[in-house]
Amino acid sequence: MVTASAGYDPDRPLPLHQLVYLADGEEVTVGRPDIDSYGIFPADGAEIVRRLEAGATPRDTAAWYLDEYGEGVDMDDVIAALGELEFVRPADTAETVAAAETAPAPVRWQRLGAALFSPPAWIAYAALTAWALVTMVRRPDLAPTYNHVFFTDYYTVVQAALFVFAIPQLLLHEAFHALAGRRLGLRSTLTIGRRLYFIVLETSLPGLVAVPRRRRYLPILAGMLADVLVMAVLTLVADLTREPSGAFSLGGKVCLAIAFAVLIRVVWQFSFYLRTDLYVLISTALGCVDLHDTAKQYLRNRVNRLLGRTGRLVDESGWHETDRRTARWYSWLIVVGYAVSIGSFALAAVPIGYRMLVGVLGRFTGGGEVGWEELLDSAVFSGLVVLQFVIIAWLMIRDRRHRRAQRRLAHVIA
Amino acid sequence: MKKIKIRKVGPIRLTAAA
Repeated sequence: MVTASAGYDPDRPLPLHQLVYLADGEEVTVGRPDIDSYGIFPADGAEIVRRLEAGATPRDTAAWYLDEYGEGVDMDDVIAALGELEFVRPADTAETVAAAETAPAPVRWQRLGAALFSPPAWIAYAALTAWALVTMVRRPDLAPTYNHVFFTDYYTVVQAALFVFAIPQLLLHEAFHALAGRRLGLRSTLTIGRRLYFIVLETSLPGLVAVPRRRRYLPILAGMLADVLVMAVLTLVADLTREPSGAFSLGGKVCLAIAFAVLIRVVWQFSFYLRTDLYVLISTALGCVDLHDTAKQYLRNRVNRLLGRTGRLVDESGWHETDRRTARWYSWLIVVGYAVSIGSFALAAVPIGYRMLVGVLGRFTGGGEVGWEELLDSAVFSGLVVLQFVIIAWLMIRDRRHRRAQRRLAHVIA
Repeated sequence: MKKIKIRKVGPIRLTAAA
């Protein structure tokens, strides 16, 4: 069924941008890699797009569908969806044809990405990690422990040092994600984001959804590979820079402190309910599309059903079938995870933070003699704590504005 | 008249806790 009312001519080919197709289970991911816009189509829907892209008119394509499947198809809706995904080119002019035919520019750093994950590099990574592990077993004082964090009695120095050294390490973690993506020719963007009360760096790899799932695992795990390598190098440096007495040098102590902070970040990746790298790994392996949001909506619907608030139920027809099946058990893991995070925050972080702030303020307002070092110590410490609250508040406001500004899609399930 | 269900997929985001 085709009408001419939807802004296209059913008897002329529909100009489409160059599209890529990836079969994924019973569905097909179709997308425009040049602007990183992707949609998931059922097999028959993808075949419609292929025919339109090959130059068949909408009317011919609708006739083919009727002949093939024995029922008509809502062609207006399909073409409106292609418009919302920005797959449709404006009417052909010489310029748009020329622009469509030029190949997209290759991404930068692709060769570096290929070298970083080449067989010789993997041998080097394995050797480095094995060397560090063997050294740790032979000299147990290198094994990670939280005592390593306190390389000096000045806690503000500890906190400031961990903060300063965290930045290059975080950038390396994200660079490994990005370079593993560049190796596959994918663009990436780096932003600051938020997970519950954690400030995170976020590498977005939109093109990864058009790569076969088994090739997605390396870009997903590359960040944690970088973390392991950094821990290995820092541990070996601490071992090789010992004093003649066998005690760690100051540089060695700092290395072990940073290595422990990196280990904490690796452990943090296991809080998958915060959508960490391991969450992406799990949902990729299970064949999910948007597991986290589906599981949250599933929980919300369960709660609202129990309370009899049927007016607040979310429409479940938009859920992906794999997401729906997985959400049945995954949603409970989210509840447990959030309970652990919020519980530890309420029972540990809030009392500790309160006690420290009271102590710090006491130094400023107390009548006794307080040295300038202690005042500086307190000022830097409380400054860092306040800065984190400010950044988290700013991120919450930014994300809320961003959500409101998003276009509502009528023909595509967002 | 069949309506084809089409879903937009968002980008994959990989993170590190700062």
